[in-house]
Amino acid sequence: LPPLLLALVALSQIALARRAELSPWLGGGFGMFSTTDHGAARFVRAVALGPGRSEPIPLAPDLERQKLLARDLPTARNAGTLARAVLAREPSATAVRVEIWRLRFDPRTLEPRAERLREAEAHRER
Amino acid sequence: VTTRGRALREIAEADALDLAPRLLLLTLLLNPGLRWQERAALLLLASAGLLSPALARSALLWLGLGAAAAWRALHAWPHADNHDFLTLWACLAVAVSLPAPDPRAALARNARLLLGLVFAFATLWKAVLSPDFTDGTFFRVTLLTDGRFRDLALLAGGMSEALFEENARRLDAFAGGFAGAPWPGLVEPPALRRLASLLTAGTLVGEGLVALAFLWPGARGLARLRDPALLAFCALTYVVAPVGGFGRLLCALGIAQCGADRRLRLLYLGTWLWVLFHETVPWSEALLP
Repeated sequence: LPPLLLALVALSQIALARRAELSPWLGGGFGMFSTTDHGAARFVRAVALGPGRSEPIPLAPDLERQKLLARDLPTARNAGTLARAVLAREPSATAVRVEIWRLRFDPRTLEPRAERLREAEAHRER
Repeated sequence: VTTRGRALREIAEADALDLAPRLLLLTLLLNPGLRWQERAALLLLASAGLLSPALARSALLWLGLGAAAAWRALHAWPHADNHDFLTLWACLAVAVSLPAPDPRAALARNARLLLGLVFAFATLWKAVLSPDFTDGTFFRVTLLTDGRFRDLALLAGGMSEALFEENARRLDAFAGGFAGAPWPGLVEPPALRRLASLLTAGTLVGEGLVALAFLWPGARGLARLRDPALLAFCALTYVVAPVGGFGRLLCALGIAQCGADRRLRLLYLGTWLWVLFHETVPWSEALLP
Protein backbone atom coordinates (compact mmCIF):
# COMPACT_ATOMS: atom_id res chain seq x y z
CA LEU A 1 0.00 0.00 0.00
CA PRO A 2 2.63 2.68 0.89
CA PRO A 3 4.49 2.29 -2.45
CA LEU A 4 1.16 2.60 -4.27
CA LEU A 5 0.30 5.77 -2.33
CA LEU A 6 3.76 7.19 -3.06
CA ALA A 7 3.26 6.57 -6.78
CA LEU A 8 -0.25 8.10 -6.78
CA VAL A 9 0.89 11.25 -4.98
CA ALA A 10 3.95 11.57 -7.23
CA LEU A 11 1.88 11.16 -10.40
CA SER A 12 -0.61 13.76 -9.14
CA GLN A 13 2.31 16.08 -8.43
CA ILE A 14 3.54 15.70 -12.02
CA ALA A 15 0.03 16.49 -13.30
CA LEU A 16 -0.18 19.57 -11.05
CA ALA A 17 3.27 20.75 -12.11
CA ARG A 18 2.40 20.38 -15.81
CA ARG A 19 -1.14 21.79 -15.70
CA ALA A 20 -1.14 24.23 -12.79
CA GLU A 21 2.56 25.23 -12.72
CA LEU A 22 3.14 23.77 -9.26
CA SER A 23 6.84 24.20 -8.49
CA PRO A 24 8.44 20.82 -9.32
CA TRP A 25 10.32 20.93 -6.00
CA LEU A 26 7.05 20.68 -4.06
CA GLY A 27 4.12 18.34 -3.69
CA GLY A 28 5.76 14.99 -2.94
CA GLY A 29 6.89 14.09 -6.45
CA PHE A 30 10.62 13.99 -5.67
CA GLY A 31 11.45 16.76 -8.14
CA MET A 32 13.77 18.59 -5.71
CA PHE A 33 17.12 19.60 -7.17
CA SER A 34 15.87 18.91 -10.71
CA THR A 35 15.23 22.42 -11.99
CA THR A 36 15.89 26.10 -11.32
CA ASP A 37 12.10 26.58 -11.15
CA HIS A 38 11.72 26.87 -7.40
CA GLY A 39 10.88 29.56 -4.87
CA ALA A 40 14.04 31.61 -5.35
CA ALA A 41 13.33 31.96 -9.08
CA ARG A 42 9.64 32.87 -8.74
CA PHE A 43 8.31 36.31 -7.91
CA VAL A 44 5.01 37.86 -7.01
CA ARG A 45 4.27 41.41 -8.00
CA ALA A 46 1.24 43.44 -6.92
CA VAL A 47 0.09 46.54 -8.79
CA ALA A 48 -2.46 49.04 -7.45
CA LEU A 49 -4.83 50.26 -10.13
CA GLY A 50 -7.03 53.36 -10.18
CA PRO A 51 -8.03 56.19 -12.47
CA GLY A 52 -4.74 57.17 -14.05
CA ARG A 53 -2.83 55.00 -11.61
CA SER A 54 -0.84 51.83 -12.02
CA GLU A 55 1.93 51.43 -9.48
CA PRO A 56 3.70 48.48 -7.89
CA ILE A 57 2.92 48.07 -4.19
CA PRO A 58 4.68 45.98 -1.55
CA LEU A 59 2.89 42.95 -0.16
CA ALA A 60 1.99 43.15 3.52
CA PRO A 61 3.98 40.70 5.69
CA ASP A 62 0.78 39.07 6.96
CA LEU A 63 0.03 37.93 3.40
CA GLU A 64 3.09 35.69 3.33
CA ARG A 65 1.09 32.45 3.36
CA GLN A 66 -1.18 33.54 0.46
CA LYS A 67 1.84 34.90 -1.40
CA LEU A 68 3.77 31.63 -1.16
CA LEU A 69 0.70 29.65 -2.20
CA ALA A 70 0.13 31.85 -5.26
CA ARG A 71 3.83 31.80 -6.13
CA ASP A 72 4.35 28.05 -5.90
CA LEU A 73 0.92 26.87 -7.09
CA PRO A 74 -0.30 29.78 -9.26
CA THR A 75 -3.84 28.63 -9.96
CA ALA A 76 -6.48 31.23 -10.84
CA ARG A 77 -7.99 30.62 -7.42
CA ASN A 78 -4.77 31.16 -5.45
CA ALA A 79 -3.85 34.25 -7.47
CA GLY A 80 -7.41 35.62 -7.09
CA THR A 81 -7.38 35.04 -3.32
CA LEU A 82 -4.10 36.94 -3.04
CA ALA A 83 -5.39 39.78 -5.24
CA ARG A 84 -8.50 40.19 -3.06
CA ALA A 85 -6.42 40.12 0.13
CA VAL A 86 -4.09 42.79 -1.25
CA LEU A 87 -7.03 44.95 -2.33
CA ALA A 88 -8.53 44.73 1.15
CA ARG A 89 -5.33 46.27 2.53
CA GLU A 90 -5.10 48.99 -0.13
CA PRO A 91 -8.03 51.36 0.49
CA SER A 92 -6.83 53.95 -2.03
CA ALA A 93 -6.87 51.54 -4.97
CA THR A 94 -9.98 50.74 -6.99
CA ALA A 95 -8.43 47.49 -8.17
CA VAL A 96 -5.34 45.39 -7.68
CA ARG A 97 -3.51 43.17 -10.13
CA VAL A 98 -1.32 40.34 -8.92
CA GLU A 99 1.27 38.84 -11.25
CA ILE A 100 3.29 35.67 -10.72
CA TRP A 101 6.57 35.39 -12.61
CA ARG A 102 9.37 32.92 -12.91
CA LEU A 103 12.91 33.16 -14.22
CA ARG A 104 14.17 30.85 -16.94
CA PHE A 105 17.88 30.73 -17.72
CA ASP A 106 19.38 30.57 -21.18
CA PRO A 107 21.32 27.27 -21.31
CA ARG A 108 24.25 28.90 -23.11
CA THR A 109 24.66 32.33 -21.50
CA LEU A 110 22.59 31.78 -18.32
CA GLU A 111 20.79 35.05 -19.07
CA PRO A 112 17.52 34.99 -17.13
CA ARG A 113 14.24 35.64 -18.88
CA ALA A 114 11.15 36.50 -16.86
CA GLU A 115 8.05 34.54 -17.80
CA ARG A 116 4.59 35.45 -16.51
CA LEU A 117 2.83 32.40 -15.10
CA ARG A 118 -0.44 33.96 -14.02
CA GLU A 119 -2.16 37.24 -13.28
CA ALA A 120 -5.37 38.00 -11.44
CA GLU A 121 -7.26 41.20 -10.75
CA ALA A 122 -9.56 42.12 -7.89
CA HIS A 123 -11.92 45.07 -8.25
CA ARG A 124 -13.59 47.03 -5.48
CA GLU A 125 -17.35 46.76 -5.55
CA ARG A 126 -19.11 50.10 -5.80
CA VAL B 1 35.30 -9.58 23.29
CA THR B 2 35.50 -5.82 23.80
CA THR B 3 32.49 -3.63 24.51
CA ARG B 4 32.81 -2.15 21.03
CA GLY B 5 32.90 -5.60 19.49
CA ARG B 6 29.82 -6.64 21.46
CA ALA B 7 27.96 -3.50 20.41
CA LEU B 8 28.79 -4.05 16.74
CA ARG B 9 27.78 -7.70 16.94
CA GLU B 10 24.55 -6.78 18.68
CA ILE B 11 23.71 -4.35 15.89
CA ALA B 12 24.78 -6.72 13.12
CA GLU B 13 22.78 -9.61 14.51
CA ALA B 14 19.69 -7.71 15.67
CA ASP B 15 16.27 -8.79 14.48
CA ALA B 16 15.32 -6.83 11.35
CA LEU B 17 12.09 -5.80 13.08
CA ASP B 18 14.11 -4.16 15.86
CA LEU B 19 16.98 -2.58 13.96
CA ALA B 20 15.28 -0.86 11.03
CA PRO B 21 12.36 0.63 13.02
CA ARG B 22 14.79 1.81 15.72
CA LEU B 23 16.96 3.57 13.16
CA LEU B 24 13.88 5.09 11.59
CA LEU B 25 12.70 6.36 14.99
CA LEU B 26 16.11 7.92 15.59
CA THR B 27 15.95 9.51 12.13
CA LEU B 28 12.53 10.99 12.94
CA LEU B 29 13.80 12.37 16.24
CA LEU B 30 16.59 14.20 14.42
CA ASN B 31 14.18 15.80 11.91
CA PRO B 32 10.94 16.39 13.75
CA GLY B 33 9.87 19.52 11.82
CA LEU B 34 10.13 23.23 12.37
CA ARG B 35 6.95 24.21 14.17
CA TRP B 36 5.95 22.86 17.56
CA GLN B 37 2.63 21.62 16.18
CA GLU B 38 4.59 19.42 13.77
CA ARG B 39 7.21 18.38 16.28
CA ALA B 40 5.15 17.49 19.35
CA ALA B 41 3.45 14.28 18.22
CA LEU B 42 6.45 12.98 16.26
CA LEU B 43 8.85 13.61 19.15
CA LEU B 44 6.54 12.03 21.71
CA LEU B 45 5.76 8.91 19.68
CA ALA B 46 9.30 8.39 18.39
CA SER B 47 10.75 8.76 21.91
CA ALA B 48 8.22 6.29 23.29
CA GLY B 49 9.11 3.81 20.55
CA LEU B 50 12.83 4.11 21.24
CA LEU B 51 12.35 3.62 24.98
CA SER B 52 10.05 0.61 24.63
CA PRO B 53 10.94 -2.19 22.18
CA ALA B 54 7.40 -3.54 22.54
CA LEU B 55 5.95 -0.20 21.44
CA ALA B 56 8.37 -0.03 18.52
CA ARG B 57 6.80 -3.26 17.26
CA SER B 58 3.27 -1.91 17.58
CA ALA B 59 1.53 -1.10 14.31
CA LEU B 60 -0.55 1.44 16.23
CA LEU B 61 2.55 3.46 17.14
CA TRP B 62 3.58 3.54 13.49
CA LEU B 63 0.08 4.50 12.39
CA GLY B 64 0.26 7.35 14.90
CA LEU B 65 3.61 8.44 13.50
CA GLY B 66 2.18 8.16 9.99
CA ALA B 67 -0.81 10.30 11.01
CA ALA B 68 1.52 12.95 12.47
CA ALA B 69 3.60 12.95 9.28
CA ALA B 70 0.44 13.10 7.13
CA TRP B 71 -0.83 16.06 9.12
CA ARG B 72 2.49 17.82 8.53
CA ALA B 73 2.38 17.13 4.78
CA LEU B 74 -1.26 18.23 4.43
CA HIS B 75 -1.08 21.23 6.75
CA ALA B 76 1.89 22.65 4.86
CA TRP B 77 0.55 21.69 1.41
CA PRO B 78 2.09 22.23 -1.09
CA HIS B 79 5.15 23.37 0.83
CA ALA B 80 5.95 20.15 2.67
CA ASP B 81 9.37 18.83 1.70
CA ASN B 82 9.89 15.55 -0.12
CA HIS B 83 11.49 14.47 3.16
CA ASP B 84 8.09 14.88 4.88
CA PHE B 85 6.40 12.69 2.29
CA LEU B 86 9.07 10.00 2.52
CA THR B 87 8.70 10.04 6.33
CA LEU B 88 5.00 9.43 5.88
CA TRP B 89 5.48 6.54 3.43
CA ALA B 90 8.21 4.97 5.61
CA CYS B 91 6.03 5.07 8.76
CA LEU B 92 3.10 3.57 6.88
CA ALA B 93 5.39 0.87 5.46
CA VAL B 94 6.36 -0.22 8.98
CA ALA B 95 2.73 0.01 10.16
CA VAL B 96 1.38 -2.28 7.41
CA SER B 97 4.34 -4.68 7.55
CA LEU B 98 4.22 -5.47 11.29
CA PRO B 99 0.87 -7.34 11.24
CA ALA B 100 1.75 -9.22 8.00
CA PRO B 101 2.18 -13.03 8.16
CA ASP B 102 5.92 -12.57 7.44
CA PRO B 103 6.63 -9.08 8.78
CA ARG B 104 10.35 -9.12 7.95
CA ALA B 105 9.74 -9.97 4.31
CA ALA B 106 6.88 -7.44 4.09
CA LEU B 107 9.05 -4.67 5.54
CA ALA B 108 11.91 -5.51 3.18
CA ARG B 109 9.55 -5.55 0.16
CA ASN B 110 7.90 -2.24 1.09
CA ALA B 111 11.25 -0.56 1.77
CA ARG B 112 12.69 -1.83 -1.51
CA LEU B 113 9.73 -0.56 -3.51
CA LEU B 114 9.73 2.80 -1.74
CA LEU B 115 13.41 3.28 -2.51
CA GLY B 116 12.96 2.23 -6.14
CA LEU B 117 10.01 4.57 -6.65
CA VAL B 118 11.66 7.55 -4.92
CA PHE B 119 14.66 7.28 -7.24
CA ALA B 120 12.49 6.51 -10.28
CA PHE B 121 10.48 9.71 -9.83
CA ALA B 122 13.61 11.72 -9.02
CA THR B 123 15.20 10.42 -12.23
CA LEU B 124 12.03 11.06 -14.24
CA TRP B 125 12.06 14.69 -13.12
CA LYS B 126 15.74 15.17 -13.87
CA ALA B 127 16.07 13.18 -17.10
CA VAL B 128 12.73 13.82 -18.78
CA LEU B 129 10.58 16.53 -17.23
CA SER B 130 13.20 19.22 -16.54
CA PRO B 131 15.19 20.20 -19.63
CA ASP B 132 17.23 22.63 -17.55
CA PHE B 133 18.70 19.71 -15.63
CA THR B 134 19.96 17.63 -18.55
CA ASP B 135 21.52 20.65 -20.28
CA GLY B 136 23.48 21.48 -17.12
CA THR B 137 21.72 24.79 -16.41
CA PHE B 138 20.44 23.69 -13.02
CA PHE B 139 23.82 22.93 -11.49
CA ARG B 140 25.49 25.91 -13.17
CA VAL B 141 22.95 28.38 -11.76
CA THR B 142 22.85 26.59 -8.40
CA LEU B 143 26.63 26.55 -7.95
CA LEU B 144 26.84 30.20 -8.99
CA THR B 145 24.07 31.60 -6.82
CA ASP B 146 22.67 29.15 -4.24
CA GLY B 147 24.19 29.70 -0.80
CA ARG B 148 23.64 26.04 0.15
CA PHE B 149 26.20 25.00 -2.48
CA ARG B 150 28.56 27.89 -1.85
CA ASP B 151 31.24 25.82 -0.10
CA LEU B 152 31.28 23.25 -2.91
CA ALA B 153 31.60 26.01 -5.52
CA LEU B 154 34.46 27.56 -3.55
CA LEU B 155 36.25 24.27 -2.91
CA ALA B 156 35.88 22.58 -6.30
CA GLY B 157 34.48 25.13 -8.75
CA GLY B 158 37.20 27.76 -8.86
CA MET B 159 34.89 30.35 -7.28
CA SER B 160 35.95 33.03 -4.85
CA GLU B 161 33.79 34.39 -2.09
CA ALA B 162 33.76 37.81 -3.76
CA LEU B 163 32.60 36.34 -7.09
CA PHE B 164 29.89 34.34 -5.39
CA GLU B 165 28.55 37.44 -3.61
CA GLU B 166 28.71 39.44 -6.83
CA ASN B 167 26.73 36.83 -8.78
CA ALA B 168 24.07 36.64 -6.09
CA ARG B 169 23.86 40.46 -6.06
CA ARG B 170 23.47 40.66 -9.84
CA LEU B 171 20.71 38.08 -9.90
CA ASP B 172 18.88 39.75 -7.01
CA ALA B 173 19.12 43.15 -8.70
CA PHE B 174 17.76 41.74 -11.96
CA ALA B 175 14.90 39.90 -10.27
CA GLY B 176 14.16 42.83 -7.95
CA GLY B 177 13.63 45.04 -10.97
CA PHE B 178 11.27 42.42 -12.40
CA ALA B 179 13.50 41.81 -15.35
CA GLY B 180 13.41 45.47 -16.37
CA ALA B 181 17.01 46.04 -15.37
CA PRO B 182 19.78 45.32 -17.90
CA TRP B 183 21.34 41.90 -17.41
CA PRO B 184 24.99 42.22 -16.38
CA GLY B 185 25.71 38.48 -16.75
CA LEU B 186 27.06 35.96 -14.26
CA VAL B 187 30.77 35.30 -13.83
CA GLU B 188 31.39 31.58 -14.36
CA PRO B 189 34.87 30.11 -13.85
CA PRO B 190 35.70 27.25 -16.29
CA ALA B 191 36.26 24.85 -13.37
CA LEU B 192 32.74 25.50 -12.16
CA ARG B 193 31.29 24.64 -15.55
CA ARG B 194 33.21 21.36 -15.50
CA LEU B 195 32.01 20.66 -11.96
CA ALA B 196 28.40 21.34 -13.02
CA SER B 197 28.74 18.88 -15.93
CA LEU B 198 30.20 16.25 -13.62
CA LEU B 199 27.44 16.70 -11.04
CA THR B 200 24.74 16.59 -13.74
CA ALA B 201 26.04 13.36 -15.28
CA GLY B 202 26.85 11.78 -11.92
CA THR B 203 23.40 12.51 -10.51
CA LEU B 204 21.60 11.15 -13.57
CA VAL B 205 23.67 7.96 -13.63
CA GLY B 206 23.66 7.46 -9.86
CA GLU B 207 19.94 8.04 -9.28
CA GLY B 208 18.98 6.12 -12.41
CA LEU B 209 21.07 3.15 -11.35
CA VAL B 210 19.56 3.07 -7.85
CA ALA B 211 16.05 3.22 -9.36
CA LEU B 212 16.73 0.40 -11.82
CA ALA B 213 18.45 -1.79 -9.23
CA PHE B 214 15.67 -1.46 -6.66
CA LEU B 215 12.85 -1.97 -9.16
CA TRP B 216 14.63 -4.85 -10.90
CA PRO B 217 12.61 -8.03 -10.25
CA GLY B 218 14.21 -10.87 -8.31
CA ALA B 219 17.69 -10.97 -6.88
CA ARG B 220 19.84 -11.37 -10.00
CA GLY B 221 21.12 -8.97 -12.64
CA LEU B 222 20.91 -5.31 -11.69
CA ALA B 223 19.25 -6.25 -8.41
CA ARG B 224 22.69 -7.23 -7.14
CA LEU B 225 23.70 -3.57 -7.37
CA ARG B 226 20.97 -2.37 -5.02
CA ASP B 227 23.00 -1.97 -1.85
CA PRO B 228 26.31 -0.83 -3.39
CA ALA B 229 24.50 1.76 -5.52
CA LEU B 230 22.43 3.15 -2.65
CA LEU B 231 25.35 3.19 -0.22
CA ALA B 232 27.60 4.95 -2.72
CA PHE B 233 24.86 7.45 -3.57
CA CYS B 234 24.26 8.35 0.09
CA ALA B 235 27.94 8.45 1.00
CA LEU B 236 28.76 10.83 -1.86
CA THR B 237 25.62 12.94 -2.27
CA TYR B 238 25.01 14.00 1.30
CA VAL B 239 28.56 15.19 1.76
CA VAL B 240 27.54 18.19 -0.36
CA ALA B 241 23.73 18.16 -0.61
CA PRO B 242 22.25 20.11 2.30
CA VAL B 243 19.47 17.58 2.98
CA GLY B 244 21.03 15.09 5.36
CA GLY B 245 17.66 14.17 6.87
CA PHE B 246 16.58 12.73 3.54
CA GLY B 247 19.84 10.78 3.28
CA ARG B 248 19.35 9.27 6.73
CA LEU B 249 15.81 8.21 5.80
CA LEU B 250 17.23 6.46 2.72
CA CYS B 251 19.79 4.63 4.92
CA ALA B 252 17.06 3.54 7.36
CA LEU B 253 15.02 2.16 4.47
CA GLY B 254 18.18 0.55 3.11
CA ILE B 255 18.72 -1.33 6.36
CA ALA B 256 15.06 -2.38 6.35
CA GLN B 257 15.46 -4.18 3.02
CA CYS B 258 18.96 -5.68 3.28
CA GLY B 259 17.92 -8.75 5.28
CA ALA B 260 20.29 -10.31 7.79
CA ASP B 261 23.53 -9.48 5.96
CA ARG B 262 25.77 -8.32 8.82
CA ARG B 263 28.25 -6.46 6.66
CA LEU B 264 25.54 -4.51 4.83
CA ARG B 265 23.83 -3.55 8.06
CA LEU B 266 27.04 -2.10 9.44
CA LEU B 267 27.72 -0.31 6.16
CA TYR B 268 24.24 1.28 6.17
CA LEU B 269 24.68 2.27 9.80
CA GLY B 270 28.12 3.72 9.06
CA THR B 271 26.69 5.67 6.11
CA TRP B 272 23.85 6.94 8.31
CA LEU B 273 26.48 8.26 10.76
CA TRP B 274 28.60 9.62 7.88
CA VAL B 275 25.61 11.64 6.63
CA LEU B 276 24.90 12.87 10.16
CA PHE B 277 28.53 13.90 10.58
CA HIS B 278 28.54 15.96 7.38
CA GLU B 279 25.28 17.62 8.29
CA THR B 280 26.41 18.47 11.81
CA VAL B 281 30.09 19.36 11.48
CA PRO B 282 30.98 22.36 9.27
CA TRP B 283 33.92 20.43 7.78
CA SER B 284 33.99 22.35 4.49
CA GLU B 285 34.51 25.68 6.28
CA ALA B 286 37.73 24.31 7.76
CA LEU B 287 39.04 23.56 4.26
CA LEU B 288 38.20 26.96 2.81
CA PRO B 289 41.04 29.45 2.54
